[in-house]
Amino acid sequence: MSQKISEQEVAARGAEMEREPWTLPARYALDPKKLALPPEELQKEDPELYLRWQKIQEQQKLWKQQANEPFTRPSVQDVFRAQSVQIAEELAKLIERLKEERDKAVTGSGDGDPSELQGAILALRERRAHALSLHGRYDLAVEVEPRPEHKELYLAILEAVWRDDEEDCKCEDVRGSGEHSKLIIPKHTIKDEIFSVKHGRVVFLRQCSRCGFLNVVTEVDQRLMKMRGHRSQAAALVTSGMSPTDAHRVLANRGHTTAELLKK
Amino acid sequence: MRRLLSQHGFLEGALNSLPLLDERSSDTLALGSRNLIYAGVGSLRPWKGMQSKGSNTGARKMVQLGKTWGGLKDTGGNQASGSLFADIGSSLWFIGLGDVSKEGTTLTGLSASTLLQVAIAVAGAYDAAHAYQAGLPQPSAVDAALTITIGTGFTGQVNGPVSFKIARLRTTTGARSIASLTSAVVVAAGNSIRLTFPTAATGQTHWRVFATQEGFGGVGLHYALPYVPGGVTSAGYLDIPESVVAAGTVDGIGRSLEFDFKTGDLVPELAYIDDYPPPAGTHAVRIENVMCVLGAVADSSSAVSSTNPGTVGAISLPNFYESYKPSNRVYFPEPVVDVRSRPTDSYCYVAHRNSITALQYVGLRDGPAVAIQMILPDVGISKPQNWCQVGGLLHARIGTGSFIRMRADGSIDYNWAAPIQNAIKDWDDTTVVGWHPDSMNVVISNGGEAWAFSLVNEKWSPFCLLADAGVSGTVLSAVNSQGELIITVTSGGSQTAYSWDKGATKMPVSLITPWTQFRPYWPRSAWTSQEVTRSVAIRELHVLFETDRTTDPAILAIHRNARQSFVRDAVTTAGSNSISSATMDLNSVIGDYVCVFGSGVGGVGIDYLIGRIATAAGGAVTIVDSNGNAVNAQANLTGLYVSIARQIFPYNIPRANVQHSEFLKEPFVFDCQSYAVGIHMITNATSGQVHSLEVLGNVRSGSSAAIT
Repeated sequence: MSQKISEQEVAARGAEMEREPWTLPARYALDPKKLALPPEELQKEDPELYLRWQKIQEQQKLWKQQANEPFTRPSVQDVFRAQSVQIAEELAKLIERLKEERDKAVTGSGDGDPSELQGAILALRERRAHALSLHGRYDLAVEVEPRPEHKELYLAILEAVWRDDEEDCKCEDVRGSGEHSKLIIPKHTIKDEIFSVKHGRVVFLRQCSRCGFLNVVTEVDQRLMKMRGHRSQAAALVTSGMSPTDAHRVLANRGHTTAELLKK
Repeated sequence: MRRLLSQHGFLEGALNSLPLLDERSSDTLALGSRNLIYAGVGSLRPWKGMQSKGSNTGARKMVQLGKTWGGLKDTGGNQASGSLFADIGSSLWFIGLGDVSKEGTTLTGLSASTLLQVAIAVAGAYDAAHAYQAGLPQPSAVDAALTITIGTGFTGQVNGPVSFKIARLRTTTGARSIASLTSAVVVAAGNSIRLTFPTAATGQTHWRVFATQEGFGGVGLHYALPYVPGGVTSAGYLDIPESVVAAGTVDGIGRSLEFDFKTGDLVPELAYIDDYPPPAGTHAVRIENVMCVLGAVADSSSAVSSTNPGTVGAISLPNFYESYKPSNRVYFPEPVVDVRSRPTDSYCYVAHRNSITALQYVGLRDGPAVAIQMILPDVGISKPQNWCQVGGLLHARIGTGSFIRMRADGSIDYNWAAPIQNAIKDWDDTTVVGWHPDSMNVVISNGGEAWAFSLVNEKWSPFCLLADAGVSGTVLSAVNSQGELIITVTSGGSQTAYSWDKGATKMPVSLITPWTQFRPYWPRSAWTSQEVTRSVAIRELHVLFETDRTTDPAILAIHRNARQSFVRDAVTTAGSNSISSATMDLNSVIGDYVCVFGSGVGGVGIDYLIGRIATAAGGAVTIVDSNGNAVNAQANLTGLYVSIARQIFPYNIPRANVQHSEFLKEPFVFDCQSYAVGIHMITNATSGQVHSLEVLGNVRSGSSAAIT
């Protein structure tokens, strides 16, 4: 009987240990509260932790040098584009495997649920179509995509890519009204930045904001570029620590207001 | 005159690394002892075997999955690796290689790759339609225009040039995209604005709109703009459901919503600029409020893969597990082999081939919220199954082939497995290390055997043989969950999960004493030293034991002169008295006894077969009874445990529970320079151990002795 109690006690101890939070042994633990202190204070309060933290920083510098990081920060599109090739390939294999499983299930020689497998295949086809579009294979995306509305979009972009770059609609720029009548708004807007297999590079998907006509261009209108530049400046001011209100004031003082930009 | 030759207690655990006749080992269990574990304090009991979770329920990479368990299964001929875990809202996060499974069931269409993915539970189930690659793509710019007709409930408040950005949201996982490019600038003069949205991305649930202050359409900044439907007087909502967008029509244009606002309506949240998707990696872990993708950035020319891992850890923005600012990175000394973490802890261990590091939360700061601390700079692990942690302390088979454990103060015990080193020295990197919470044992296993180390008793139990639990194959991986240790065993292409120490109703146990030498005290001897080895004749045994079964006898074996005492690879054929074994030493064994253990080997319900060796040749022995008649096995069996001894005899157990044996006077084994005694019992897997053994016999006064 005593053994049984002991065994139960041991099991209870194991269960408690499984539930409770675990911590690293003190010699390895980094205390977030102490690390939030200015370095001088940390050095005074916990010299051992201070030294260890210094060593960690030094190690990080060393290991960073060893890592094969690119020297430039990729754009978010670059990141997605790089991933998309890999995703498309992996999904193609997975879809093929699920198709085989589905076909076996349909003929009774497999275990899976055919409708569940078919649902999975459709979901993965959507993901694969999106991956294909990210690296410019809109032609394949149109074939793979099961949803009509997405298929339509991929087709529209595919047509825009292969259209003559000079081709444009006949709409005119938009003039402001009332007190804003001096302002002329370019009819074009940059809808997206996409990879074009025709151009072999990232191009701008340009849309007419009046009729919706799509085409791709390798360079954007000067006025649009100027506005982009100012937006970047505004974002930079904020990310460098300035409050949005102050950033706004700085831009206004520089004359970077939309009204100034758009005056004919 | 009979005298007490030795006493044995068996409670000092398994020990097979001391020299054969070391006196310190008298109360230990010698190699060949089997199927016992320390479950309570200071007590052994039969191992309860392995209970199957169902065919093909196992996985090469086993993990805790919320309150249960799961894993990544091999796929397409490739070995699974990486990370899988459950997080907020029962979401499943996975990265690496392999098909995702939960409690042994493969989740259709969920397959890990080097890109972090998340699956959302819908009515408690997971499917491919609700599994998404982490991170949302940047949307294309929103179409902005002045409304032709101001809608019902709107007044036309917007005045001056304004422009817009939009971002995608997945509220189920907290994902958000980087904001779109800027829309066309529209110059309003007491107008409302029509925004026409692009199609939703896979996995997107909501939109967020950002607008400039009036007059700053071409410049920015862009602030969050709530959507307030016409006629509504409330503050509106920032997260605009895709269903609302899909149903919206303005001026006859679908997927459009009407916005009517003043600068003061803008919310001071800027359009997202840091919400990059995670880079490709090999592993992932969530620590406190950040997600970490590890093994990113392989080399300059090829992408990350399971065979081409990177050394960088990308750390998400706090609370946004799918948003990765490119500068939020930590760096490891080498690629990641495996990660050990629990959702409740503020750290994880990261194993590499040549080192072990810890990633721990260091709070919000200008940079990643986690930092890397080197734990072991000179040793790492080879495979993900080579380690586990218990209470924050590591237990591992390191790359050099030895076993280590971390002490409570963080120092490393390199002699942890020294007591059993002799038995496990040839183990390779397929060794599995796991923790069984219910018995507080750390279990190391390789091939078809496992050894348990009791964290309560600080002792090793003798090996447990999977074959004795009716399990064939070799161990592959393990994980603990809800008190259980679940082990995957691979056999014939099938990977099956089993609960450790559970399910058996019958279990053979063996306790073998260490080799013992008798050194009598000769006070008047003129020609020898006072303590000199003399051969003995074993004549009597006294056993204090306990058992839960009386159907089968206890089988006692007396081994002589350091001869081989057991093998584990015997093969029997029904109707034949030939016992074959590739490892049995056939030299001078004729006349010795064997006892073969195996299910039904002695007939229906009889799991033992005793015989005397009549012939020994060609990797097999034949066995006979005392009359010289063949003793035939009754079943075709392989991988059997066989006790080989100078004498083997049964003792019928009169009752269950703790008891003394009679004074057993059957033994007659003489000329023993050394001896060992084995006691074998077939139990009901609840109770069965030997508390003490006394060996009695005669001492031979002369110096002659046998060597076999």
